Amino acid sequence: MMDLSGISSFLAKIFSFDPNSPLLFTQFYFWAFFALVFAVFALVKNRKFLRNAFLFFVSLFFYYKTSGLSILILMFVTCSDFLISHRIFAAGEKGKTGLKRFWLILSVTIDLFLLFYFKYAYFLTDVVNTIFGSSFKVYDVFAAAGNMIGGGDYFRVDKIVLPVGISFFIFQVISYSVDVYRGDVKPVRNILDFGFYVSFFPQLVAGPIVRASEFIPQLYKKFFLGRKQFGIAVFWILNGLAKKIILSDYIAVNFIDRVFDNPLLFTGFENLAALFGYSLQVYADFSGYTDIAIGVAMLMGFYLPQNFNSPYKAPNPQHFWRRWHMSLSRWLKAYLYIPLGGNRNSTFATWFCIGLFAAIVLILSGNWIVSLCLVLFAVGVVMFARFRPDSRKKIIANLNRFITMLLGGMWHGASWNFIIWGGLNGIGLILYQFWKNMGWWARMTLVGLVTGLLALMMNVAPAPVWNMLFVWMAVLCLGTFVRFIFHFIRPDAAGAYASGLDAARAKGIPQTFVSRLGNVWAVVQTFTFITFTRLFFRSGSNLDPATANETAWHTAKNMFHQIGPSWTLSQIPAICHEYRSVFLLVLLGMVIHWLPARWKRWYRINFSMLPMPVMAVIVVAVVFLVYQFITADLQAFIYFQF
Amino acid sequence: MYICRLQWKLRMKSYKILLFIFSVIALLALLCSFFPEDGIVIGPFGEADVSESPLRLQFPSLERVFEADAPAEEMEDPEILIQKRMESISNARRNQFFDYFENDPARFYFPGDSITLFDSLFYAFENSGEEPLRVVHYGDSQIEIDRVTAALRAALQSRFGGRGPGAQMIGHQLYNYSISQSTSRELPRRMAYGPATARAGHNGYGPLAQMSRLDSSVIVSYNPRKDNDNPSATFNRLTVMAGNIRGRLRVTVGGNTLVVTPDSLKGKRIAFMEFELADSARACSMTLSGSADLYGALLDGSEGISVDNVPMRGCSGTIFTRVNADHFREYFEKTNTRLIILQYGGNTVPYMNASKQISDYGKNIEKQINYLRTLAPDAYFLFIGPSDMSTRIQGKMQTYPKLPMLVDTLRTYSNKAGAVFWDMYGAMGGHGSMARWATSQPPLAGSDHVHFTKLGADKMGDMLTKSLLLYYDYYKLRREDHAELQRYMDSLDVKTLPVGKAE
Repeated sequence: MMDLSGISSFLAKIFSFDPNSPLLFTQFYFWAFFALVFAVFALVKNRKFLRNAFLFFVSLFFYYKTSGLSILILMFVTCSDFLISHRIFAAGEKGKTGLKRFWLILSVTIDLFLLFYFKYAYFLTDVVNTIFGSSFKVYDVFAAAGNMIGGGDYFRVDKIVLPVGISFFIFQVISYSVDVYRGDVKPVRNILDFGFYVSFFPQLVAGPIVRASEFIPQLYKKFFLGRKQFGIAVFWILNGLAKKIILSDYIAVNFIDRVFDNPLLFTGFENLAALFGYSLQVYADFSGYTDIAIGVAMLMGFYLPQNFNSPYKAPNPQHFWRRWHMSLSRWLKAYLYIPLGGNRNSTFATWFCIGLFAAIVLILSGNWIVSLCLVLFAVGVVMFARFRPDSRKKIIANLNRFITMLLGGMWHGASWNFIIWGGLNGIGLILYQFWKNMGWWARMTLVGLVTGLLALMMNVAPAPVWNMLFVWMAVLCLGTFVRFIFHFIRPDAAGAYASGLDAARAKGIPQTFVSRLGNVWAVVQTFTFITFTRLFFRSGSNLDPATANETAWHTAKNMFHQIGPSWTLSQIPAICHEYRSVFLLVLLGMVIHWLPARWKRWYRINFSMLPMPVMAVIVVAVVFLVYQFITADLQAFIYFQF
Repeated sequence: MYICRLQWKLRMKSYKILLFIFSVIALLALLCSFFPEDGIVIGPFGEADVSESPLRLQFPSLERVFEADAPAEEMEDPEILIQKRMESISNARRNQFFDYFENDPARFYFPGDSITLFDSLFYAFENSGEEPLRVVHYGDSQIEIDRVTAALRAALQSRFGGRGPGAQMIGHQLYNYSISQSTSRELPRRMAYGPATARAGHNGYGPLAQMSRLDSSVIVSYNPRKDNDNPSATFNRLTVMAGNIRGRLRVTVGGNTLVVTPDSLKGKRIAFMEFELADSARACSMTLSGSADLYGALLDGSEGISVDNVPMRGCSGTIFTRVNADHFREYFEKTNTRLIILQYGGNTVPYMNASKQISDYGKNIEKQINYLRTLAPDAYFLFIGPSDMSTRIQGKMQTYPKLPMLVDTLRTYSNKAGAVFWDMYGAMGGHGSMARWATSQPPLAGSDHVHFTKLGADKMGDMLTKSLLLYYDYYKLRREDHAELQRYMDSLDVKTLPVGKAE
């Protein structure tokens, strides 16, 4: 049996920070930690001040376990935004608009500075080195200051470590300052309450990003949890654990990571399968985290916003972004897209962003022609807008959409792969805007022309990427052709539901077999497009910023090289057999994902109403099942790095 | 519609939640303490494959849950380790050859400890300008897409001359680190290794242990990889190897056409059809028509060293005796093959349980080397053992328990067969090093904990080559500066002077 030293080292492990084993929801330690926290929480649950203060300190401890002394940054923004928000509010009360604006700008500047410092330091150093031909290395001034104050070598100064979750909590404090500025929320009276909002541990490191106006009112409510809500909270936690460990970690370690590490070792079919598998993995990983976060918060009586709504059910790219990482999309919409002018007009910020992108592209490519083309293109769009005032609104809206997507890409990191990823998504959104307003003749002509062009490119300038795009477009062309022919017979039924089948069903829109078929087609096309953009996303993630660009480029290129040329079809059965467990899991994951929302609701509610002892036994059974899939090293959540 | 009915507004008391959480933990603890430590075997399902490890249900014991992680084995950062190895190579060059030859983990293990065994090979390297020679690197998936070999080839060709990426298969879309191949159609491919369905039904596989069957015509082109700036990027000679010709085989390269018929082979098994290309060509295209087995194309320089990369996925190196002896003999003789590198063992690691299995495998390798030796009497043999490989043992990635024994066995038997041995497992850091290589940033090995990444393979290839060239430096020192060497030996208090035979 275990002896006392086992327990003492266990305790030591609980209270110390080890950079190699951050506290993850998938560890037993986290749940032991949570059980203890909940025991204390149960005692103070109705004393709001005590409860909030307690959860604040617990959250700080949680962050310390995850990210070490980066906690100082979290505390700093908490203090600075707490103080400034009061100034904003006071200036507003006195009607001093200029002063109010000044404080807001100060607050946002400080927040963005920290974000930029930690997230884009490598990139900016690279910029300076490129422009001046210097060879500066990053030097962490905060780390150096910390060492000076502490009188020791606590931090490495030659490396800037990205504090876990910085993009999430910085966005949260910005939302608070802006909401106070807009008068949507009153400044919080007590700094402990505010700290609790910023750092609430379930959602601290990877969202959902909670908006101040939605969360702060909850701080002043007493604990209440319905019996059904309790069951649902348990359901979300189990759901999240299963998603993370079975659908994300297992298939990643046993298949996807291997292919992305060495694409040339695998056939085209395996590369393509890994790419589609990654789409499921990244969803299961990220939504698994938020499911657990939502469940844990709900057990303590707090409600976090929904972050995912079966995104791969989306029939078009626009709708995809309303279902994927919804809290970020809504954040970007409220604090970026609308201030940019939304779908009405362009503002100074629109032009500032275009200039910024041109500069970034110039730096990344080291080629001013590329950047000039970008600026010329933007100017061309503007001129067009000027001479065609009737389509001006549309153009501006698309421009703002594109900028929002690009910035969304940059939010993940300043490197080519994220820019390409954001750019492709922006293009996807815009193409969809045009497509949905096109007649069938125009659609058919367009798709036919593009397919022809790609066929031409395949012969004139052979490259694997043309083959790949050609096959894709040929399939698209065929599908469009079928729908084109069909619309002559049944002009009413050829379109997909713009907001998905579930929404159509909820609204009671009648469905026919044909319209469902149209929807399946749209969903598959959207899923394929999103998967394709992920090629760039995945290749650059998880890497040291110094090598990210180069590796991402090579990985993407090598994958094209494997997927592009004709495949040896006879190998496919053998490959499927070899990876049968992984492929079956991916298939199962997708089938569950595509179940109608009302089915999911049905089993969720049934679970939540089970008698407690039965529920406990099911929890144990699920944990046992999940443990069978656990990989040797617990895998960190993908979105921890952003 | 719902299975259970419940008052919707029922309130949940917090102590009940607490009770729930703790009873789940208690139930799990109960499960932990009663679940057998070795798990419960429930598989394999379906047709049992002896090579597959059984499927078991597992659950950790209480001790495992509570034990603070044993402090992770103090493994060196692979970057630092590699740097150390390189430093000891350059230090050795200055004054401590013997220390390196006796103790360094990246040293070569010579049969009978005769560290001068390679002398005549080095002599041949030096004279490869007049008499071109070939190094053939056979291996398993660890060397696929020219990994490891590319670094070796680049170093040898820069040092002693030579160009071109060496042997390539014909009629398959291929893309490796040195060259890419495109083909008007995929030719059927038969291999002496891999799944049983890939066999030819006869033993005429050619010297690369694989062949493509041509029955009509095909256009194949070799195109440079733009990022390859090594000497291997250019070549000026293309040799097509074919056999089992029915009717005739016609090959056209840039306006020159060669035709072979069964008669023109004159009793030989392989027809070597040579084409001189423009000097420093980076690409070439050829049209083949007729009916023949194609064994490969050699893209070489007309002088210096050529290095072939011959990867065999899933192979453990015991297939050479399956291939027609004449094919090997004619190839080694024609191309003046002076060094044959065999890099195998990794594919057997997951299935090795008993010592008997390991020694049987060692004996088989000895047999393979002896077989090849009779076919390439002028060649030296170098056997490269498997890298470290890890598997999940009690929830942690650890080195396969039998791997060190396998490495030792392979060293013994390959030395016994007269081959020099290089211990890749030891060179990369020994026990537990794969886990570190796979998790280092940037990754040096893939997440399968078996294969090196391009970066890792380059580092290993580099280490291998630098170590090899250290023996060459020692050889040069002995030849060029006898007096200096004598003084050096005196200072080391070594009585006898090891002088190797030089041709």
